[in-house]
Amino acid sequence: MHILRAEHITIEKKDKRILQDISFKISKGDFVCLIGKNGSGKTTLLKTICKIITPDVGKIFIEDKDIKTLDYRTIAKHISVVFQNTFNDLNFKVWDIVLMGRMAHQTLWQKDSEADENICLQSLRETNTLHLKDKNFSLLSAGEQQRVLIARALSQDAEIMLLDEPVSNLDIKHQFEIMDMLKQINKTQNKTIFIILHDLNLCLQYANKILALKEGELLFSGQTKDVMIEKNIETLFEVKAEIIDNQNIILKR
Amino acid sequence: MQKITDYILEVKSVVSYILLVVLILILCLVACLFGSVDISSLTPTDKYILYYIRVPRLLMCVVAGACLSVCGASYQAVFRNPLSDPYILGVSSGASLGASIAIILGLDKMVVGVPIMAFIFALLTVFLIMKLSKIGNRTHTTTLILAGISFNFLFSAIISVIMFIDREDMHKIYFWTMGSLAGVKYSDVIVVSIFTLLGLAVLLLLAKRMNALLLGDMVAQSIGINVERTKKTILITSTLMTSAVVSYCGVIGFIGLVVPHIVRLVVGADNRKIIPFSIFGGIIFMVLADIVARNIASPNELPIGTITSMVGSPFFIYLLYNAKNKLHF
Repeated sequence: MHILRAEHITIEKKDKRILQDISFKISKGDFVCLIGKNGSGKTTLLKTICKIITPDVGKIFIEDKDIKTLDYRTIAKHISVVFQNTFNDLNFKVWDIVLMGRMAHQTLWQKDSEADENICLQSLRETNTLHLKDKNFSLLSAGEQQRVLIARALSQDAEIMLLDEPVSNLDIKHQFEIMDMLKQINKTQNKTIFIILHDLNLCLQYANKILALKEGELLFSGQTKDVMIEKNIETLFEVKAEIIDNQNIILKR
Repeated sequence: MQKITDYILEVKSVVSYILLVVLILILCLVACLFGSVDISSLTPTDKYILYYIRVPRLLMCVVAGACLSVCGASYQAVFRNPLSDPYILGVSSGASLGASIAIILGLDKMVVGVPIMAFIFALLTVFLIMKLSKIGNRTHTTTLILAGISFNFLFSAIISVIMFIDREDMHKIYFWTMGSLAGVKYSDVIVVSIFTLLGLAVLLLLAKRMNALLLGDMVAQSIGINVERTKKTILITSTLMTSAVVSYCGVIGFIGLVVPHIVRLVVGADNRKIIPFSIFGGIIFMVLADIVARNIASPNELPIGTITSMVGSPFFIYLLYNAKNKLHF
């Protein structure tokens, strides 16, 4: 059984095809990278997986259950999402934001229990943000904010985590920090990571599975070492690529 | 250590609640004692004035103040915009237009004829404004405010036409456009209280979800909230509360803007604190405004709506000025 499965996803907007007949399967514990040029439909696909966008054709399955039949709360128990950080003026304490991740597990009448708080403390520890607990979110640095947002997603205690370009506005040191953290979460908790990345070197080093979108179509997908070959990358990004030691990609015009 | 700081915080908030209650009680006492007639000698007439004029009016102040300021806070959470308020968004004018139409149709002889018409028109306004100001996934400040102001213009124009056509009811309708607590009866207070208490219960229960809404629709949905349903519930509840107040007190503006904003400066963005503190803040603001309205031009009385607007409009301008740099959320 696959933890996440997409079948023939097609989305049109004003007679323009955004996504065309996308199908893929993801197993539990995979670290999946979604790559492609700007406007290739990556974010749309991510939003479709978590039912923010309903596809015109096709279905998404979580553990063989069609997400159309699941309500938002149930989906939130299976999938947590870290969207691109657009909160520049969010005047909440870090602790309050992380606690919000528990909402899917609570009824309207319930308050945060000790179990909820323990899970949140654990998420803060894993993302190395425990010391920021009582700080105001808007006053944190970009790297710290990103870690807090990941802690928020972790506290949701879902087996799949979707991330939309979590490192694109960070410096190189912080990029590695976040990626290492995700790998750690992926390994120790066996969580499935589905991440949109622009940096192909990071893809090569961290992902075991790659999905590549070009103009709304799935250009190639599969195990990283099988599909991340020079020819594929050249057709995807229309640049010259050279892979060194299966680790690093050099891109040229 | 954590336990102790938590405990201190708890004590702090209990103490601040007690202080607010004491302040409100003092204000209520002042409101009962001072007015156009001196009632210190407690003659039968004085007692009548106290029991049948000042006390019901004071109670209405308390209920309406709490109601309007919490409605403001709720609109602000739904629209993710600190400048939202039932008055500025045109919801109150919508309600008063509904009330005016109810009067010319003679529905004011029915028990809840006026509130029902007020509610229908207010709700229509809210949903029109929501549709108008939504661009993509976000509600834009400028479009939201402009839509509200345009509706305000439109509704006051229609109300003027109604008043011109139906001169007999002119006085009754004029009352709605100004906002006044004169002649409030105990039965009015009871009706408004029922709406307010039920509404407050719903909104307090949803306070945590309002926090999640501040993260944006997509994030809120991804943590398991049915965003559309939650927003609709909050909007319908607060619009119902606003219409109840407008039906009996007319349009009293800006409380929903001023009070939650001040509360937010003190307690932060957490709606679980903003809503309860707005209840107290709204009561204080309203009772104070009423004391001023009754005593500043004694023995004449100013409509309370003018007092709240005198305070609120400059405040609104100040917020607009600030919003150029940053929206306070």
